[in-house]
Amino acid sequence: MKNLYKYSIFTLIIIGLSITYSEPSRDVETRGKTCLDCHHELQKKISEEKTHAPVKDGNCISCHNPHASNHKGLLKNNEMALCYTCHKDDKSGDFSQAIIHDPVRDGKCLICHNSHSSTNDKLLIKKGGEVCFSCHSKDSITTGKESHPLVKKGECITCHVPHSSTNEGLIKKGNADLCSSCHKVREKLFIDAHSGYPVEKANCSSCHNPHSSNSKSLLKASIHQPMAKKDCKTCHNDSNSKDPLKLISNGTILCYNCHTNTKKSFEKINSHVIGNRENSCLNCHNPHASDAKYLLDKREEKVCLKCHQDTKRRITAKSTLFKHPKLEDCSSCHSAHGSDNTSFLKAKEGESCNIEKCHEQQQIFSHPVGPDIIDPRNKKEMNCITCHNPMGSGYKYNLRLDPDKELCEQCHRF
Amino acid sequence: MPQILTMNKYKILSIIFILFCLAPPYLFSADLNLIASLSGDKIMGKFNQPSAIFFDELKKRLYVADTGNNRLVSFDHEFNFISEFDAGGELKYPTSIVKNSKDQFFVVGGTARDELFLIDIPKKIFKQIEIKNITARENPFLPDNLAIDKDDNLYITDRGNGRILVVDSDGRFLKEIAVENKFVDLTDVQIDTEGNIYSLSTLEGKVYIFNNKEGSVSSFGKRGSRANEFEFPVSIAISPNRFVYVLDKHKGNVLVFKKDGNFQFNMLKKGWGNGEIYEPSYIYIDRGNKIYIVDRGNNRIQIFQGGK
Repeated sequence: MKNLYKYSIFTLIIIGLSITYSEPSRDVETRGKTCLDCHHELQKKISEEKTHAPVKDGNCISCHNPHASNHKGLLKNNEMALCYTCHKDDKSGDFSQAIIHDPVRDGKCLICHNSHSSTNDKLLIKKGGEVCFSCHSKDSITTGKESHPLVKKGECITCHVPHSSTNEGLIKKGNADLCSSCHKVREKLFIDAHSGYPVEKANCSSCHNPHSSNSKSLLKASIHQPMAKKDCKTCHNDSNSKDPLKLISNGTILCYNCHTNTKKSFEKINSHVIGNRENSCLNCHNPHASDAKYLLDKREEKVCLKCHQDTKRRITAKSTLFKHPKLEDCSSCHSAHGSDNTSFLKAKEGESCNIEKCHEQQQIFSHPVGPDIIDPRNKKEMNCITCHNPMGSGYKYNLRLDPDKELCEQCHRF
Repeated sequence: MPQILTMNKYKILSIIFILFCLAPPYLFSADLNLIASLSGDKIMGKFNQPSAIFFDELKKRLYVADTGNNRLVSFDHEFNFISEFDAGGELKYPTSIVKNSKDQFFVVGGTARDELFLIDIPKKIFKQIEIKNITARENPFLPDNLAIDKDDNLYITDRGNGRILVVDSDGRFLKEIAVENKFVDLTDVQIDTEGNIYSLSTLEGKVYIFNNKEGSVSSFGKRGSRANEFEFPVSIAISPNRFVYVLDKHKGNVLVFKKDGNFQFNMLKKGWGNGEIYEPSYIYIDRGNKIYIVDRGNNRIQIFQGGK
C-alpha cells in the first residue's frame, strides 16, 4: 500500500514534468490555431511556398496584439519599428549605408515585401524586377530604342542593392568596377571605341545611360560637341601622352576657352559661381554627355535641389499643399548663371509671372500692382509675389498667408 | 495649515527654478530692439538689392554697398542719409565694403564682380587693386566678401576657389586660408579682436573658426530644419562678447552660438513688416552691439540694439 502510494506520487511528478516541458510547443500551436480559427484566409497564405518565420510558427502575437492597438491590423508597433525589431541592422549595415532606398528610409517595408507569405524569394510581393517596376515604371526606364539586356530581363539586382549602398543610384560597386564585371575593358575593341583613352576606371554613366538609349552603345542623348567629333584633345591631353586623361587647362578657364559668351551670363548682380576648388561648371554640367537639357549632370530639378536642400524639404513637405505647376522646371523662372533681378529671376519681380504670357489674364483683374502701389510693410512696389509664393504654399492659389486672415490684414488694418 | 501652504509654495518655486535652469537656452529669445529701418527716401532714392554694410567706429558712420544702384551710401550715427558715391559712374555692382584706419575704403565690385577697388576720397583716388603673387588655384580669383583686422590687413573670400586671401593695405598677398575639403565654399568672413578668423560654408552649413594663436581650425553646425541647424546660411558676425551670429537667408532669422558651437538662441523672424527679415544677405555687429541686417528681400537695412 505504501509502495503504491509512492508509485502514484512518482507517476504524478513524471506526468506533471512532461506537461510542464511540453507546454511551450502546445501553447504556440494553440495560439496559432486560435487566430486561424477566425482568420481562415491566412490558412492558405501560410501554406504558400515561402512563409515568414513567425507565421510558420503560428506566433501571430510576435507582430500583432490580440486585444487592442493604435496601429492598423492590430500591429504591436508601426511598420518601421516592428520590422526592425527582428531585422536589425547592427551587423550587416544593410539598411544604413550612405544612400538609402526611400521605402527603407521611411520604414515602408511592405511596399516590396509581404508580411505573411509569398511565392517569391525574400517574401517579395512580385517576382524579381517586377517589384522594382511597381514604382520605377519600366516604361520610364526603357525610353530608348535600345535597352540594357539586364533591364530587359528585369534583373535589377545584378547591379543594384535594394536597401542601401555606399554608391549613388544604389549600385553595388563603384561605377567602373560594376560595369567591368561583365564588359571586357582591356580588349582592343573597347579601347578603340574610346579613341585609345584609358577609360576603364572612368565613370561609365558619365557618357552611357545604363538602362536605355536611342543611340548606339547606349550613349546619352546629348553629346558634348568635341566628344561627338571624337576630338577629346579639346579638353584632354593626347591619348598617347603620359597622362592622357589630364585636362589641358584648369577649372572654369577650360570651359571658357570655347564658351566665351557664357562668362558674361555670370556677370550680374546675383552671380551663381559656387566657390569651391573644383571647376565650378561641373557642379551642374556633365562635360561628356547627358540625357538632360544644357548637358546638365542630371534632371534640372535634381541638379538644383542637390545644393538647395532646404528648398527641396520645403516643396516636398506635406504642408506645401499648393505648388506651382512649373516648380520642377527651375529655369522657367530662374536664370541659372546669374541675374540682375532678385532671387535669380529671369525678369523683374513685377514681370516675372508673365514672361511666357503664363498669367496674362491675372494682369488685368488683379489687386492693384505696379510702381505706384506700395507695400506699406516694406515700402516695396507691389507685384504678384507680394501675395503669392510660387515656390509652394499651404494656402490656395499659392498665397503666402491665410487669405481669410492675415494676408489682407497685414496691409489693410481694420 | 499655513505652514504647509508655505512649504508647498517654496516647493513649487523650487521646481519652477529647477525647470528654468534645465530648460534649453534656445527657448529664450534675445533682448533686441529695432532702432532703425532704412528703406530710402525721396532724397537718396530707394535701395536696389543692397549687399553689405560697414560701420566706421571712429567716425560713427554707416556705409552701405547698394549693389543694384551701383553706389555706396553713407549715414550718420543717427542713421540720417549723408551722401552717395559712385566714382562718377565708374563703380559697378559694389558687393562688399570695409574701411581702414587711414580712411581708405576697399570695395569689391566691377561688371564681372571680380575686382577689388581702393577708394581714398580726400585724395580723390579710385583705382583697382591688383593682388600680386596669389597662389594659383583651380579657378580664377573671384573676390566676394571683405573683412579687416586691427592691423588694416584685408581678408577676402574667394568665391571662385573656396578660400580666404589675406592681403595688406597695399594689396600685397600675405597668405591664404582654406580647409582641407576642396568642396567647401567659404562665403563670408569676420575677424574678432584677437585676430581669430570666422568663416562660413553655405553649402555645408558649417561655421569655421581659424584660431590665430594656435593655428588650429574648429568647426560646428550642419544643414537641417531644426532650431539649431542652418537652411541656407549666408553671413557671419561676431558680437563684442564673442558670440557667433549666423544669418540664415532662407530661414529668415539669425542663429546665435557660443564660440565652441553651443547653440544659444534664434532671433528675428521671416516676414515683411518692421523688425522682420526676408531673404537677408549680410549681418554686421558693431562695438556697441548694434546688429545691422541687410534685409535684401525687403530692400532695406534694419538696425537692432542687442542686449548690453
